[in-house]
Amino acid sequence: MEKSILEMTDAEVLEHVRTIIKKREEQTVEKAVKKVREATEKTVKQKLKNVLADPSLSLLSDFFAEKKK
Amino acid sequence: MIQLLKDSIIVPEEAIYVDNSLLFGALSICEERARLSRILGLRARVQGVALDFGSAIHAGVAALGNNNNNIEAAHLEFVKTLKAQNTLLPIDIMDQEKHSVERGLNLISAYQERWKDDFYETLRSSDGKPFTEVRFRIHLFDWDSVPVILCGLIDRVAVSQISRRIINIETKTTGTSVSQHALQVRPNHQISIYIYAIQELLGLDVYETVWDAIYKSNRKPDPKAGFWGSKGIDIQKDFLRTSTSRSPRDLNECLFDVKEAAVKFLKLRDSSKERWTRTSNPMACHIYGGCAFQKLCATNLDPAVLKSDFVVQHWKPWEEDENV
Repeated sequence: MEKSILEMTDAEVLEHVRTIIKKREEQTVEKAVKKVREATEKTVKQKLKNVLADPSLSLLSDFFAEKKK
Repeated sequence: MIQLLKDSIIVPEEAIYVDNSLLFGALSICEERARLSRILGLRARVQGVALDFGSAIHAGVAALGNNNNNIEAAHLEFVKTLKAQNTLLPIDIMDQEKHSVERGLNLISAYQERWKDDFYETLRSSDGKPFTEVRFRIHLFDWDSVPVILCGLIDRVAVSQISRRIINIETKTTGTSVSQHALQVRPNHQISIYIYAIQELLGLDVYETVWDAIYKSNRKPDPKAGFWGSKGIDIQKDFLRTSTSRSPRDLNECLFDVKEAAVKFLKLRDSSKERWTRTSNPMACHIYGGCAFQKLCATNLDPAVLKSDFVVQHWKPWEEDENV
């Protein structure tokens, strides 16, 4: 349970609020970074898929098929 | 804190105090509310968080006026005031309760930013004391040889740096939009009484009153809404100042109403009525954060509720201040 402000000094209350705000900002940044990373991964995967599906680049698909073995 | 009283007046201990909140708040909304608070002297054991929040914001804003807009001083005053009220206010703005310590600190920071370029300078006494949170007493009349004293607390008396005129600044926190709140400047007996008090006790002509509204939203921080949006604030919409002035005729008319209302209160007080009339408007129980006596009325003054939820603490505004 969250501590009451009555259990803290005035300076502690202000510091506590600053910590809450900082934590929230960090979480926001983390969320944004995660979103960008996921979107990038998705795009890269899709692009790779497209490349592999391209018949003109069969040499490349053969190479990956060989690697999978 | 500055206290204003005409030198020639000696106020005896048995003096009867009345104020705007009693005469034009409690008494005009619900007589029973006036009886419970001012005659029986009942105070809720646990004050509503909205009240705690409002008075702490007032203290923070006054500290800005006293300390050259210093935000640290204002934040500290806000926290100190909350603690002095033994508040149950949550800290985090993400709490379900819309009033929180974090929202209060953000509002004070935003208020400072919003009005940092205004041209109002807090008036100071000859010994340098700022005229913020100024208590005043005015002798209205005698009732059975006992003086009836009108008292109040003025938020801030300022001087316009441009015109050098005297400005009364009345700060209000509100849960309704500030544009709606701005409509309350007239009629408004509180404003008229404060102007009258400044003129009567300081001998200064008040050019206008600035009705300084601060909106308490329930907005959550939105990181996509810019710096203030990420703090749950809309810096343009959450603050509004409206100017209003009063003529000498306005003040005379107000004084007439004040005396009439005071007489009504005193007659009721001296009547043998065991209970005063309750409001017939059910919405009246819910304005300004809700009446503290709702539960007591709903249980028809159940002694058990009275004992568990209330304490007797008669309203003595002047004595409270003398201990400050």
